Amino acid sequence: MSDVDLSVYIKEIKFPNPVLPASGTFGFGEEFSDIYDLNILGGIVTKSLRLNYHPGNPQPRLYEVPCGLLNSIGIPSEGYEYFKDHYLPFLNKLSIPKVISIAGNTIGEYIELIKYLNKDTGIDIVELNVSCPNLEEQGRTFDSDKDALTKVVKEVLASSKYPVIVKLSPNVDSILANAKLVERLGADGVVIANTLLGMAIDINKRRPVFKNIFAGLSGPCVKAQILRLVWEVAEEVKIPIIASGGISTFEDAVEFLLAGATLLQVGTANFFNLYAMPEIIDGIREYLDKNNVSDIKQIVGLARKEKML
Amino acid sequence: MSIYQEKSEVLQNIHINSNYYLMTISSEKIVQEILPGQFINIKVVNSFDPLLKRPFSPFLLNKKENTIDIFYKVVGKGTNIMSSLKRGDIVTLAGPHGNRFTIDKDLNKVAVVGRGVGIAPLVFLSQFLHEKGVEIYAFLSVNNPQFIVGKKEFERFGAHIYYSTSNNELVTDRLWNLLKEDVKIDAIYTCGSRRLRREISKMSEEYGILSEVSLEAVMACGIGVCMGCTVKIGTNSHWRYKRVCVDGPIFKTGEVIDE
Repeated sequence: MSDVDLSVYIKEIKFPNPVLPASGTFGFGEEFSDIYDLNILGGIVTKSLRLNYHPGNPQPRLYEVPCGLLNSIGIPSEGYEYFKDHYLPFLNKLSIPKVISIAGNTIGEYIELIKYLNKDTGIDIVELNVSCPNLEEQGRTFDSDKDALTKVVKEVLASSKYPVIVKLSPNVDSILANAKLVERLGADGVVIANTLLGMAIDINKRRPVFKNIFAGLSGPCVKAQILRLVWEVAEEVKIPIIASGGISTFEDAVEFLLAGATLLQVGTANFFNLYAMPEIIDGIREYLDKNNVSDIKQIVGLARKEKML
Repeated sequence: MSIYQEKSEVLQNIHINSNYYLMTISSEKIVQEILPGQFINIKVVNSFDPLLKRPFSPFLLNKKENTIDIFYKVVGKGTNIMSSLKRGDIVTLAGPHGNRFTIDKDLNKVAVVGRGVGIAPLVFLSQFLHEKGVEIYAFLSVNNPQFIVGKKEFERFGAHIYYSTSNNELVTDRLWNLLKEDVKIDAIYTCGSRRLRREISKMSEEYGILSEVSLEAVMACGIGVCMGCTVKIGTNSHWRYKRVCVDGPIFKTGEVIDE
């Protein structure tokens, strides 16, 4: 094993390496713990937790497209009480940072959930999912409107004893404007980005495949677009950027680091390759070693600088 | 129980009939541990298109030779590519996935009721039960009586074979008759058709027989994290979405709610 330093930080929280699962692709970790030791990861990001039980969407929930996956899962959740009794004890056994993703349909739901989480131990960071329909605003997502985004981020930041990172959707007028806004409000990092909206039509039924018509597109097919967004956001935002969008190989991961991401989330790749994250971590380490880089932080944003390493 | 991801070699890939194929693949660990009801996920080609693995039940296992037979039907892009694989090609396997058929120790006689490619997991189950000395009644619903999935295998297991096409008596009618004749069936296992499942659920209720169904679903991860393969389980007034990949694919026939 080489002695390359892969550690990165969000505030004072140290991640042993930058590779995390994307929320919703890793459950609360238990399933993958039957496959490999989760402590080799940079950290864990849970499935979005809701205050109360929510069943999620009816079928169909998945539709495969070339090099990608459309999903309309609907953020099912067992709710906080179940999380506390069943998932938290498992998470607490892990030595890596625990990022709890939270979702809600009203600001009140987010805040009540935060208040419960504040009492728990072992959690390191809250990831705020603001791509949920805001039921107080005709079901538009929280981040589709500057005022709604401001309000939810402000209130969550004021309530949370943990650092808060905000996962932004690319399906807005300007994800850069939203990233700058949440930075100004005091967020500790931005996740770029949630899934891109897409759709599919069943040509035999002559109807959209999904009941909600649009669905979230993820996988290798979105990588180039999300890389561009990370590049743009990194130009103007100084808080850590957590890149999420089609990262499937160590080469993808290195591209996002070079574009300016500090941390990386691997999502859909976990589905088609159970060892995607361990392979990506090993690949990054070997890449750095081969290029005589002793500290991963040296390559963050390097592609935007004139001087080559 | 552990889940493995392993490289596997295609040993043969035979076109059986119309769009049915039989593939034999090597397996180091999965073949030794997989049990009836469980499935494997196959990434048929090492590229991003098609992206996801495809779930299949084993058809037969050969633990001595470390091989798994997969009986499959070409239905889309993934299985189409699969049908073109040649001896020596390498695929990636993951598994064993999912829960198992309930197999009580004192099983004496069981009925398996399947349709089309849904007969595959019942052949795997019957291979296992036959080795345990269980008497098997196989009810096979087919479109073409010239070609009955698993016929040869069920004959080898000494099964009583009943088959029907859409034109003659329904296999479920034959099973109802068998039950009326006081043949003591200890369990009924089914796969491949909603109608079969619903009818067997009624038998289960009337005769107090355990009956289970193996469900099929589109899935992404196969290990319970993506929440894509859900099915409504319970009663109409009290249900939960369950994951076919880990809470199933085996469910009691009476607890599956059609959406």
